[in-house]
Amino acid sequence: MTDTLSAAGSVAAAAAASGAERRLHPLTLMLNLARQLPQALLGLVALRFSGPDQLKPWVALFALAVIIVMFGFEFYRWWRFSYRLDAEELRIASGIFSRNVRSIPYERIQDVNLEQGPFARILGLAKVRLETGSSGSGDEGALDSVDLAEAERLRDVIRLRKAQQIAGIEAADESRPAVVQSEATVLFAMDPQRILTAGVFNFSLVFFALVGALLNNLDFLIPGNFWDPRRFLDFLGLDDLFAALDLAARIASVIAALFGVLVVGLVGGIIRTFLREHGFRLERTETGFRRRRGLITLTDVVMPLHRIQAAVIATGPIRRRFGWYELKVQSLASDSDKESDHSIAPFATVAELRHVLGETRIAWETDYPAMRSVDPAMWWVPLVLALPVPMIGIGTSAALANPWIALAFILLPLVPLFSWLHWRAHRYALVGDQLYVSDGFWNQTLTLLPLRRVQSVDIRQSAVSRFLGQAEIAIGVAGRPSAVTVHALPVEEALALRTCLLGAAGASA
Amino acid sequence: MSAGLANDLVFAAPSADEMSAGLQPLDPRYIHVIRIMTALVLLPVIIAATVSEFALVAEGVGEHGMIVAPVLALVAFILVFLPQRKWKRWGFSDAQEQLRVARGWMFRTDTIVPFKRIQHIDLGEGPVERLFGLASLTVHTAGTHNSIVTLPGLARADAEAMRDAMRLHIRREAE
Repeated sequence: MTDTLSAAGSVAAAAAASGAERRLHPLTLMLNLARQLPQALLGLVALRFSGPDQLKPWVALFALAVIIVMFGFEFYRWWRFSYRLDAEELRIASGIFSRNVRSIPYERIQDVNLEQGPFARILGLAKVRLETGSSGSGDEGALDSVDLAEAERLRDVIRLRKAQQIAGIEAADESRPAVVQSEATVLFAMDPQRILTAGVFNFSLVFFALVGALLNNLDFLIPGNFWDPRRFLDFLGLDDLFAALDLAARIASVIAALFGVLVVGLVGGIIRTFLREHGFRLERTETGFRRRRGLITLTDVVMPLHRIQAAVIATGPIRRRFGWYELKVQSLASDSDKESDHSIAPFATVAELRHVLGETRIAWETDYPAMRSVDPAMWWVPLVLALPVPMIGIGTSAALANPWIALAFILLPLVPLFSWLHWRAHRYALVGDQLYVSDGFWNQTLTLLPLRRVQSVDIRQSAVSRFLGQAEIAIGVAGRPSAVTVHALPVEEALALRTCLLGAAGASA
Repeated sequence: MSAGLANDLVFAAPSADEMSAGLQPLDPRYIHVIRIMTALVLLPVIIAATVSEFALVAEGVGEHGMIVAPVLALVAFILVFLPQRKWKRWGFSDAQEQLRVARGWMFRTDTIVPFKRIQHIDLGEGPVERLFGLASLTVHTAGTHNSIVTLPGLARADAEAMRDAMRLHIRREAE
């Protein structure tokens, strides 16, 4: 059936465009099987140990059958998946029972991204992901996987055809596909030393979380009293020694433990950073940015400049002191599925950051000291409304249960402190045709939003803020999961700001 | 029903503070839609009250009317006075090539979408809305926040006219 479908479409185009049907790389089969194997194995192990007794001798046979069926199924799926570069469009035929032939006109392909997982790298394969403008999950066109040379050829051909289609030039010449791929200038790159520094600032206790999660899941393997320190002492025969240790030694051991946590956190942060940022290169291509990074999973992402909606400069109080910043852009293209911000300079100095930012049409003309702060009601109103609850709670439980609980009152001043710090960090400014919003005292972000990217503007007011004569503004921006928000503005200021924000949206576009 | 009385109470434009300047009210028939929708929500409450009252009386606890009477009073109060208050909190405007939709009181939100930012428009009619010749207009923007803005309670002809006016401004992304 696929043959009839694709044959019908190709009558005209096939001759001119040398659009041969191609299949994915055969090794993809192995990759897909390897991905499914752990689950299947787990199922078999479960069957072996907990299944009915009379079934147990048959497990091996059953396993063989499963593997054959899985292999057959995967092979058939692989066999039925093909793609072809036509003159006008890329065609992807897929499906086992219901056939589906998808046509993606080159014109509609925004980006071609390559991604390589660890196994794919060993085998020399890459996943080609086509970004079209549709709001779907970004899997509208994915070739998983072809070999690396083919992936690069596909990218070049698609870009070339796209350029030709837009320019209205016919006569595809596949023999020189690398025209579009003119020498790209490197805008920003990170050497191992830089990544190491970044890792130090990326202090992360993720290792503890990981070990904790593992222990949680595997605790059936661990004897019940495993964590009892006395058991260790018994085991080591140090019972008497520990009893003899004086207070100073105990304090020293606590300090040593804290130091250990510190070291693990540092190492964890460095490893995580190296895994993600190794070999970071940001290049300026003809239409936008191209970013390559990763130690085990390599990603290669292209971001056309015209799809960039807003920029975010992120730092922290300590990083700022040392002059390190991260530059992220919010773009309509979807990166790896989990990430909505595209980090285009994860750890850069101000000069480097300005150099990269200069390529976008986004300016950076003001910073925190010159920006306007919002009304202090932002920090005290939530406190007035929310603080009495824990105060009464602690008070009653201290009175009823244990007077020591009253010590928790000592922690309460932290809440207003954090609230106040958040208020102090929140500022905004309208300079030129851009809105600047800064947020956060620990994770400091400065959002740079060109007014031409404003999609919608909300003015929000709760009953309390109406009483105080205040409102907040929330701006919808494409490609950004949450609104850009300016809190606790006097109503007149909010109305004036809205007029400015929309004035530009009405004028351009 | 007390609809006539209720409508007489609130035919002024929505509250005239500076936040709400320039807003038009929704079609007054939308009050009936709100009332019917609220009644449908409250129906299970009345049923639950009746059932539990009969169960309790059968057990010999209390007398008839002890649950149903207050519940009915509350429901009647809600149905008589709340719909036009809710209606009054809505407001819209399509001046200056912008769609503005304001709603709510406890948490008031006033959204503006420039016509040029609209990706596509839905014109919807629920069964109750159709009964009163009303329609709701839903516009979609590219933003993730506020990607859907709904304006209910428009006379069908008005909604169609607004949609056609907006449609002229929908273009492909300019940049």
